[in-house]
Amino acid sequence: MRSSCRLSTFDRTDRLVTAADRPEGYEALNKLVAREKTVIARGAGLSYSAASFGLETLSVDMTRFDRILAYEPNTGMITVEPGLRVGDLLAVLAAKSRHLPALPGYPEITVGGCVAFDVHGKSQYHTGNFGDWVEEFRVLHPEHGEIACSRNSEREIFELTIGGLGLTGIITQVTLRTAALNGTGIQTSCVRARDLVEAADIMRAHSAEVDTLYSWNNMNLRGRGFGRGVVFLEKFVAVPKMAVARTRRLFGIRSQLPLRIWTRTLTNLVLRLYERAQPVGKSRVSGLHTSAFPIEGKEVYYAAFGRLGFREYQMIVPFQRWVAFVEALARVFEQARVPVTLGSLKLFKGTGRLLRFRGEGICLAIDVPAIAASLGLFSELDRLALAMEARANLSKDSRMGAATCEAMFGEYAEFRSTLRRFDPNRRCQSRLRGLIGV
Amino acid sequence: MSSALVVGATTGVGRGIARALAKRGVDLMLVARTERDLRATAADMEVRFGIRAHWLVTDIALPGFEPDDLLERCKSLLGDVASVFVPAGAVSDEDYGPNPDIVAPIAAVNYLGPARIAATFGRAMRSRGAGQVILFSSIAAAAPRGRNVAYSAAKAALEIYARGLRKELEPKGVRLAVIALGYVDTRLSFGMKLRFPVADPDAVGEYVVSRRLHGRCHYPRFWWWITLVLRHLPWPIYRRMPF
Repeated sequence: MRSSCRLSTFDRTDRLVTAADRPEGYEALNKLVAREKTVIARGAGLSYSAASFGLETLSVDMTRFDRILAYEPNTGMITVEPGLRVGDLLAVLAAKSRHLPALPGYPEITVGGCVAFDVHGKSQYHTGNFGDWVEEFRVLHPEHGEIACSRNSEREIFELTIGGLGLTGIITQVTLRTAALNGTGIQTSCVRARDLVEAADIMRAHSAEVDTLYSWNNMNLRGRGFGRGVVFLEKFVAVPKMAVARTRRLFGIRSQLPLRIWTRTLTNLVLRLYERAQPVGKSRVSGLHTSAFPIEGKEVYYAAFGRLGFREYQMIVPFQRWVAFVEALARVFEQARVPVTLGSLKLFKGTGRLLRFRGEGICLAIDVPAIAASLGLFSELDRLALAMEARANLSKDSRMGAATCEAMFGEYAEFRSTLRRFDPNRRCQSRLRGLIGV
Repeated sequence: MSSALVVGATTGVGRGIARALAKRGVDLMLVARTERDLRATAADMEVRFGIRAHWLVTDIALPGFEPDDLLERCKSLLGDVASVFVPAGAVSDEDYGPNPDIVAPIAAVNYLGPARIAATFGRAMRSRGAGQVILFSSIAAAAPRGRNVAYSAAKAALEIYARGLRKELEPKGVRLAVIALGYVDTRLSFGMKLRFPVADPDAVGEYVVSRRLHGRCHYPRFWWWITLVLRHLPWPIYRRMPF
């Protein structure tokens, strides 16, 4: 039933008491979408931005729409409801010797959220974004009804919905392509990188021979060792009975410790210990689930930010700008004096369209506690990103405004005009929509 | 158990039961009111668990509902069903205080429909000398209040009916149980601040399917103690209770 709920972004920097409902069937869903003035879909609620709630908007929790509607063994096509969690999807596919390569790092994230943010996994360089695996979907809009979209039919709505921040309506089903599973285990090798530039060089050098690759970097070091860390190189291997093994969770993903543990001193200590613990020069084999969802089992990392939460900045920096970018980034961090709890790199390939997080270059992600100085740091990062023609990830950013967004995304105006033409009365509304001005 | 019927299979506890059964390789007949949800639930069971899941659109509250037709349909598709689960039920916002218009529809879906299914399938099981029927009540049956007054009465009636039916069926090899559910994490309880924890529908399904239940049971178990107290409270105290 329609209730008043306290909802927040995953990074905990934006909270709101708002109306929410969780229908369990299509009849109830259709009724409430027709009845409400404005609606927005909500999945697992793990977006860092306020994409699934807003003032005077009914947040429609779609987690009970988690069924698998069809599976075609000959083609590997699977049709699912949007509330299906990617961890469950992977388990079902793995049992059929298939998988979906473009999966986000946490198993609770829903398929609908993956479409709305066109999410990426660790193997974006090889396999593209989630949207590349979407064949067709249906989206329910309060005025247009339920529309079936694919690359051949309703193409404009199809393009607008993938990475469309949930603003074209409520996705009711998605058909996905899947890939054959080349092994049920993942072999991970660990290579040391002396700094951020070397980390990127190692990744580019190994990109052709591995299935996935990413790095962990210590961004709190100054001078020549800025961004020192390790690069993880992963390959599929045949290991019996490992595919469905899940990681044990001690904390919920939304758990919060009463106090912020990530102080400057403790951050430095933990990061040094973490770096030492990495098996450099060795390799290990883990199960498909464990490897696909590396955040699972590490929820304490997020809980340790306490009630105030944290902020993440993720951007794709063009390859040719990387060295200059790293020099400028080191200067920004030197002045900011904010503890950086996570630094990580991935390789990206493709072309950015509309507001999607795509492009050719190196993807950098950083986490910092949501202390006062972090906003100033992120404004500096905005300026740096614009100067380097980098592209930020809106699903990881709870504060980027319309002006920065317009300057950063070349097709911002096209996205806004197409969305307004499709939804002139703004029946799909979220706090994020207001913030970025579309 | 090789096959089972679940009435009210597309949402909440019904879906939880269907999942728990399918996980154990039990072929299913799923019954609910909306075709799209039935198709989706049946497909989900088949793809995930590799079982056969048939479905039938019907409304057990309608006067035209014939449990014999349902029995025949089950027989033709699955043979003799070993278990029948009837978690179907409904509440209404209009079920508040003295409202004569709501009594019949609430009784139809919460008492008459489930009781008729239990009787029809119970009779068939008695002749075979095997089977189980699981019905679903609510803690509201033990603690009626101004809101959901007709619902509480319908569930209490179902409990009484099941008690009598059990006396007749159990000696003939047919088990019959009524599960009085406390708060369950469904749309009804979504976003509400409740005094007691809500139960996950899948956990209810696992509980119901994995145990050999008979008689009146409570889930979660602590509700047995609460309803015991509530049933024996003197009226002057009961009427002051804050629910």
